[in-house]
Amino acid sequence: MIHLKFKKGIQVLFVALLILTVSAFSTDRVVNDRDEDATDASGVPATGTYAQILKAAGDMPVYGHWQSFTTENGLPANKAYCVRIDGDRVLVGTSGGLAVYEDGKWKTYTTKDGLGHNAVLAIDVSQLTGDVWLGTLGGLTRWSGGSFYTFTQLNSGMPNDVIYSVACDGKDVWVATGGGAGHYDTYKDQWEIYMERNAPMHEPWTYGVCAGDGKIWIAAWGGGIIEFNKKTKKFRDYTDPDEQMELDVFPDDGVVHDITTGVSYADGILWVATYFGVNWYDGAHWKTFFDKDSGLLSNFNNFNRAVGPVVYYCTDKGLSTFNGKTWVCYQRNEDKPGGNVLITNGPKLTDGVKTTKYAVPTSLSHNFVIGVDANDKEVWIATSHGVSHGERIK
Amino acid sequence: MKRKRLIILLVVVGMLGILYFPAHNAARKHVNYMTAVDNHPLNCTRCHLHMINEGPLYKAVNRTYRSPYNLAISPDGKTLYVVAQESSELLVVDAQEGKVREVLPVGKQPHTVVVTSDGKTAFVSNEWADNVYRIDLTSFGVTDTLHTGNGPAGMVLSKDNRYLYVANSFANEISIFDLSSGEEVKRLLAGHDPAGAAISPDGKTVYVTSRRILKRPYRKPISVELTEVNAVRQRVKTRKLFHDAYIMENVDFTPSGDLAVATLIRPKNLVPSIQVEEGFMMTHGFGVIEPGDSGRIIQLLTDEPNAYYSDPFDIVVSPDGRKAFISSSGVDMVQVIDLDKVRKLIATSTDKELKEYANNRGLSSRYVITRIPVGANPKGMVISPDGKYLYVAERLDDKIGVINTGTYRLEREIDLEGPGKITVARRGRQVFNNAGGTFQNQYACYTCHPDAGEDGLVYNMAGVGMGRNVTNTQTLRDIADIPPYKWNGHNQSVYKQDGMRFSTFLTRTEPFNFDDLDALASYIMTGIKNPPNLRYNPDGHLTPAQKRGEKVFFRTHTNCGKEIPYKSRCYVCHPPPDFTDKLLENVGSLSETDDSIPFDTPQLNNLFNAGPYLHDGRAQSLEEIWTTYDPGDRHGITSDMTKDQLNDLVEFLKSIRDAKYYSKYYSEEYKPLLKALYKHNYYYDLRNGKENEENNH
Amino acid sequence: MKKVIRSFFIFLLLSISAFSFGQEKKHNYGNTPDDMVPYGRFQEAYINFFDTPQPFTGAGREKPEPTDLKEVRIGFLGPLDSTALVPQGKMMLKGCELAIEQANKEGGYKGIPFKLMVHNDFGLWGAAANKVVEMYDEHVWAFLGSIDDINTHVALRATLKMEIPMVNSGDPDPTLCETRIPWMIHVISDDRQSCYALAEYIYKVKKLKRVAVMRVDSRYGRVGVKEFREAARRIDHPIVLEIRFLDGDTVFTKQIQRIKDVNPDAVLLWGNAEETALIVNQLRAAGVDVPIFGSDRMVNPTFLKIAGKNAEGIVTTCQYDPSADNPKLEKFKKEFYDRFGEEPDVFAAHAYDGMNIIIAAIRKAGLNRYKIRDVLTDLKTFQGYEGVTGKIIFDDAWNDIGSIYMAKIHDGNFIFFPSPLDTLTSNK
Repeated sequence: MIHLKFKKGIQVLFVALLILTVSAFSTDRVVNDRDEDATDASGVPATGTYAQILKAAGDMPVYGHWQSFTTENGLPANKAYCVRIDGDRVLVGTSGGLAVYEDGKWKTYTTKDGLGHNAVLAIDVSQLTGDVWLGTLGGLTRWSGGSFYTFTQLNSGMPNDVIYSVACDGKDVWVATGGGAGHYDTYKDQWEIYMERNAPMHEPWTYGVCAGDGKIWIAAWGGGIIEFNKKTKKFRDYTDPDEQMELDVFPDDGVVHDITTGVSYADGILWVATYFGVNWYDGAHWKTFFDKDSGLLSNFNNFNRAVGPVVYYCTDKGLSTFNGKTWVCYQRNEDKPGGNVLITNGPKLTDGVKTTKYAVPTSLSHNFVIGVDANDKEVWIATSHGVSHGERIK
Repeated sequence: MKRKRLIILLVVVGMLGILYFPAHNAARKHVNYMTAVDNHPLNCTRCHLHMINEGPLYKAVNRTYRSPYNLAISPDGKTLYVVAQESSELLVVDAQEGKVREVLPVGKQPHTVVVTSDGKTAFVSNEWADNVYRIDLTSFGVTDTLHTGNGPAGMVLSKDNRYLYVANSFANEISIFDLSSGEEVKRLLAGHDPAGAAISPDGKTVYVTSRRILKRPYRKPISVELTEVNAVRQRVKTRKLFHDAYIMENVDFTPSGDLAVATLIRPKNLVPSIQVEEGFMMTHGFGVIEPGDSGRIIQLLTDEPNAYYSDPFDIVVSPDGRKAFISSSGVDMVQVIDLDKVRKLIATSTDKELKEYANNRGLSSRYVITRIPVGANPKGMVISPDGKYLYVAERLDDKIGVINTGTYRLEREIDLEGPGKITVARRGRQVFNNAGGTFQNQYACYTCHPDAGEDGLVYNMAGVGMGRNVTNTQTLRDIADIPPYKWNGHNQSVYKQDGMRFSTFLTRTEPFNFDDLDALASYIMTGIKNPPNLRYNPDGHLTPAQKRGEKVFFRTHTNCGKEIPYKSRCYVCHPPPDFTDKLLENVGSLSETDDSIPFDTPQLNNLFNAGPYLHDGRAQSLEEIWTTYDPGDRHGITSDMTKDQLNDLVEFLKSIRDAKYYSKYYSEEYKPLLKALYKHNYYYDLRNGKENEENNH
Repeated sequence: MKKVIRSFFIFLLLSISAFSFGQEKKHNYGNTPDDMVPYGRFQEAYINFFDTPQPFTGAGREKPEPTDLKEVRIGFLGPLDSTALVPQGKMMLKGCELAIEQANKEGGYKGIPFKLMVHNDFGLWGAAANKVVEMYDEHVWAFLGSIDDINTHVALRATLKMEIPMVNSGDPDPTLCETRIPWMIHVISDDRQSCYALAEYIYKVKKLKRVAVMRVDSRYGRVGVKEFREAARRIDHPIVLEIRFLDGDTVFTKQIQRIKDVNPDAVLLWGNAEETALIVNQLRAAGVDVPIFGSDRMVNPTFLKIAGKNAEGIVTTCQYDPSADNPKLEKFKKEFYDRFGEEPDVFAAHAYDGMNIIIAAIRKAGLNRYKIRDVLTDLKTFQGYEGVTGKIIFDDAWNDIGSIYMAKIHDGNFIFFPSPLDTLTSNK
């Protein structure tokens, strides 16, 4: 009997050790250590579920009823780089040209119409004139009154023909290019180039640009964030305090990494995107968010755009939205229709802050999100495979 | 004593007699050389008095004329407001009495006047001052200055008089002012060289014309833009393109808004100029625009098979919408168009036929009712509110012609009380603007040199080689001091340029008589000024970029520290003040269709608005001169430059204004460089080292 | 019972060994020696970015292979005109051409020949980006390039948007892979490896303490010495002077005087062959007779020719050992000589390896850029690739952390030997 008990004991110990061993191995996985309560994962959420999502999201806008567009229903190419809501129409930059969605139909413009290149990487619309400025792989194209005119580095003072980002700021247009940041004064028809010789950049590579608060913010690839004060014409830079490419010593001490991919300013907050995490900066304090310590879906951020108090981060694992307090993220299912809305009620994960996952019947066309734009009613995203439109749920 | 005096007198007379023949011969040779003919009258004053372009003698010989350009009429039809372009004034004219009642100085080179619907306020665009004056017509004083973009020209008020749309001609923009605040609220991109503006009867659409062609690939067909502005959103809605046309000066809507009409010229610049005799060089007419998204654009000619009515300027639609009046400033006529017949023609023609009409000179008899002779160089027009009278600005007669629209007769002319006397240069200006010297009145000098500048087109002046040696039209502004002329530098004087060869290759008719030729040369040498470069260099203070570019312009070493060969330095071939060494150079720009010749180094003054560039206009922008068309560093050394350095150089080049401002280059800083030029026997005009007062304040 | 107990203990042993394997101390990122790890002595990093490879989660793998191709295009981006790097660029091109020609003799891709689309990255401003656009428009399946740091970075960023697999064989800038763009792999050891090797050698092997650095004022110089400077500081021997010169400079009097002023134990030169050779001559002429160390670009016949006897004893790093007893290398050298009539250099050899990797990836993945990328970056297919330059070992950022070599000049020749870093890592 004792023998039996001993045997049983050994077996229990064996099983316990087995469990321990397996669990020890399983902690090797690098996925985010979220406490995710999957609810209603089976299918179409009842109205009550959206009510739950809205309640959980608090002040944050929630988008649903996603509709996706690909070449099958009008897009010139599935690879969409950027999107811009322009009144009643939506402009999408794809690898196959500029696609314009208006009155429920897509219309495409290509190099035959005057585009600098069919790959349109960036779009901004001048609120002053209504002119559309398109950053392409072959120059900066101005689309005005139905006509296209392209600035290139050969026919104008523009720094380089590969335009990663465009920002309209009153009469001025800023571009981020591989040859520096370019500033075009439409009144003077004059270009200025900002690069390593006249700005605090090590090299002239720039990737993002935005305007706000009397300043121009440039995401300098390898140079962090460059701030240009329009009034004083002075620059200052914000770089990674630890100066290391491979690590971040302390969070919340400044720009997370010198390789920056996006910058957007709204409501007094500067939002920074990188491939290593994201930042929030209020003019005095920096906060850093990683996928491991917040609701951010991924550290790999292609682009960001802030609209009012909300920032939209385009990650390689879906769309993350955030207002400094709550994360609301959208991720499609890889293996079945629909997706999830993930809500994190707090800027960072703590014992009391968890991520809750809500299954929804529609979601993004692809989780590799490259571009985004939103307003009070809707959000549009450009992805690696198609464009998606989400309605704001109220 | 008397005898001694007599001997002295005889000796003097004898000496003079002896000297007469060689002096006469020398004078004859000189005149022959300068005029390129051997029978030009030997009269020193013909050139040496009327060619002086500054100083007291210039002032004594010449006059400042009023040169009415555009005009407006009060709502009650009693008062005309006339822009006096040359004297920079706004004239208040009693339309019935035919008297000038008030004269108000306005800004430099005013262009257009518009009056609010209550008749209390006028706005005058000052094209060479970059502003618009708001004028209280009750007190007749300037109450506000609206700062515009560069070269404010045509204007139109919104229907509620709240917004003013201004075409900034030099900057290719449309400024929109909120008149309640006086602030410019928008600046929209227009076509190239926007000129006239009109608003639709419902107030929802503003059309702005443009004169010069849009940028296009080298030697490709041209087009000119009519910019349609959505006046509700204040955004450009569409850019309506008129293919194979340019110099679209003005536009007007019919009262019902079913059509808009705009003047235009259709040049045939891609074929050799030999085609003049074949009636195929310049044709003139108007465009018809059907408003709306699907509206068509039709071009119709007012020319006839053997007669041309050149340089249409203004177009005005009668209050009943049935007629349009076109001032044809090159033939001193006002043409009357039957719009009902135009409507019918359009309605009964296929699209293909409509397209063909654009080149059909046999069609005008169907819709041109009559042509009314008026005074010299008719420009702006206005019709009385009751539609009974059409007032025409006879620019080079200093008069307003009054046409009875019922009888189509010039009933009377209102004298604007100009100087009266017609000076030689003024006569020359009339010749310049009149197409009478060209085969069948096909074009005037002005046609290719609007405002005495350049029209931006490339022509083949078919001489020896048909289709070879195409050249870009050059400006005639301030060229007195920079002979030789023509791209190949073959013409040592304006006389030669505009004399026999002119008739052979261009006008294709009898050459100008000597009086007209002398007058024309006098006008060109004395009367054409560069507009101020208010956009890039308003006061001589260069921007930081321009200063950096100036250093690049005057640099002697490359970025790598290597000395730049003398002839490869910018300033050597382009020395100030005219920025030309007046020599022939080869900068590697010859094309396969060019004879192997060097080109006259062009001046760089007011270069900013002189595109396209290079002798055949292949460079659409200044940047392209070096980025695209100078692969071998033959047009200066630029391949070592960084992009921002080239930008700086371009900014400096754009800042270069009229030659009179460049006394600064006699400063100590640049003296060594320029003296070195002198040593190298390159042309350098010291201008007596004279300081220019305008530059010193 | 015994069986149970025995199996339990066996399991326990296995578990412990598994634990110990699972908890095995990983090599520091970039093979950084323990005492040179950033902040290693006072703070563990909040996050390390390159612990795992960055996946590419975008679409594109579903694109079908084209069926009507007459050639399979592979891009080449290198300095072929208007720069002092043209000789290196031409060598790189020759290495690629040889690889392509050999692959075509072996049937190309399923009988379709490979075609090299050659682009010069030193044209107008930012030309590298424009050239990548040209390659995108030419539908290359992958490309190899380049040498200059700036041009390679510019191309890399453009690559990210155009999603063209990129193999770099000529630019040792470590920050290339540290951009985290999952479209590029490095098949040449980077300057991290060079700097750590030099730091180990100078400070620990040679036990020198006060080092003055003289570097070219370019990105190659600035980024190149960064890790050396930081490593020196971390091991308590901060460099005593960092002074710059320009490409094309011929007189270095001022810099040498400053070096003399600080009286260093050694001088580290970082620059191109011509300038560094002149510096060596002028240092020696000025009486600076301390040991001199140098960067990889000094391993060049031009350096030996200009510096002559003054070069004796100078030690540099080199990304491979051209004298290695490697049959593949011998074969390559012969074939290269037979084809081009000259000896290959470091750029030709690495380009040959890089192009062969591209060709192999295309053959394995098929004509789909995304699948080619997947193969290039899977850390399996080419992990431990035995090339003519030796074994290529990729880390999680796709940097080549394979062996770096030291080269010492003796009797006018470079003598290659393993770096102390190699010894350190192999002992781990």
